[in-house]
Amino acid sequence: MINQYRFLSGRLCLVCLVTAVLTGCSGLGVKPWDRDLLAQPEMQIGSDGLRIAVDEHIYFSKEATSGGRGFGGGGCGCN
Amino acid sequence: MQLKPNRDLKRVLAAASASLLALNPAQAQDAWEVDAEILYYQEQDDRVQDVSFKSLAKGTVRDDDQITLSLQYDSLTGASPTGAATQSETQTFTSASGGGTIVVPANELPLDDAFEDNRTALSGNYQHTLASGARFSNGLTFSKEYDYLHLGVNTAYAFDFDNNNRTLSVGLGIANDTIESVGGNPVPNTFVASGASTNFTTSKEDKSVVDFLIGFTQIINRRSLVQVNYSASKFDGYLNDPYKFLSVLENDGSLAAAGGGLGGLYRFENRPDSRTGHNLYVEYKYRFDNSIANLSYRFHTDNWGINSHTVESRFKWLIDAKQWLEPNIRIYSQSAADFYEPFVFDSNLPAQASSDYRLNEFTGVTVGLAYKRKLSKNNAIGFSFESYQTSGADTSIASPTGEVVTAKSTDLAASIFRLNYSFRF
Repeated sequence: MINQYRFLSGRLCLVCLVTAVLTGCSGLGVKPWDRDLLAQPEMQIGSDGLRIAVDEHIYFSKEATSGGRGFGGGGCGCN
Repeated sequence: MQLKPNRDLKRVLAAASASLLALNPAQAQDAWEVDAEILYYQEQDDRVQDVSFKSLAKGTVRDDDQITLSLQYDSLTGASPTGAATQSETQTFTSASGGGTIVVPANELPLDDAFEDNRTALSGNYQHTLASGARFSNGLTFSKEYDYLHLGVNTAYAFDFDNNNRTLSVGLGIANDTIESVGGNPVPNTFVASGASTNFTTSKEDKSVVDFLIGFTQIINRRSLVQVNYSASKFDGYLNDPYKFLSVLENDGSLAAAGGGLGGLYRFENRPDSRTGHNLYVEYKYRFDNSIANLSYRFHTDNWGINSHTVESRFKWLIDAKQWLEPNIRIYSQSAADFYEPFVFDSNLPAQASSDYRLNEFTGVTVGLAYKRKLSKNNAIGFSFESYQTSGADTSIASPTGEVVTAKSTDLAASIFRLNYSFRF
């Protein structure tokens, strides 16, 4: 039963993601000349890359779960 | 109010020019940007201490292509929990990391103070921008510790659509890690013996990792955007911590007797040799006039029975054009692995068990503050402090004869100091 729940949870996440990409958010977005703020380096996903990478490495070594932003981490005997 | 046509046109053209110039930050005039950081990490009670150096260099080549190189060196010392349970009597056992005999006073958490390691990690990534604007990247990762070797490759593809308001990215990573513990890798479920080598193998153990990720980024309006990622990871092979073992107890909670001059009976852990996990990650960014708010949430579930929730928020206050201050808070909670046992009973030894406190149910809270200041056009210096504390659940287990034995949780309190310097050339 638990395995079935996990299976369905994973599939549900994927379906939501695909649905959002294909159909949702149609009224969102900006014109090219309205990107002055979004184009700033601080507004990029993953800005402060060094700081995030170091944080993720600490949490990877102290917690049982990792990843999400990118690949799940690894390459360390600390966990 | 209606603006005069010529002024309105000027304003639009100026904004459009600024946008076009800034559309891809990688196209900045400066070809290389380097961030370097020194980190000091200290846990309470002289547990793990890490002095680390990390640098990250990003370079733009051939107009739109980007190279990313990183180097990290860690020097780790201190004491690490062995996995043995706290007892009301003195404990004596052999260090699993080659440190000789350890004597633990009554009512104290058993730590192995021979913990020492150095880690060097390198990674490189090349991102090629296709004529269509899509990005195709390939990377290599490498890390080496005294007893651990990691080699990995990854590839990713990303493209924009809907007038660059949406980005879809997919990635795949494959890694192979080799574990060669000090004194040999322990045979799972064997008992810790004094000075004996029969419970260790001289052969190396392997672990393979496959990661898959699909991500979607949506620009919401002029000030905000959201990213949603789904990722899956599959681990196969040797997933044990070779330096962790469990206390073997009698039904009344006392340590089971062992021969060979040992003060008690201890058994090496045995985890499943496969693990599949899923992550759903959402990040939202909003640009206020003088600040940037960043909020993220991650849900994780896996077939070890661990579910976790992570909420993180950063608020970057742009004090002026030269400096910013950023407080951050992160709250993490996880459930225990199905096979987590703080100890085992001699009369009922499970086939799979680990007492690694990181597999127990716990909550972790991080609070921090960072400051960065530009020294000149191409140089900036920053520092930060973070406090990370975990608190777990005490575990009560009924022995085979019905007596309840309670294990206190192993908690952590760490301080993290960082000093960083970035420059462009």
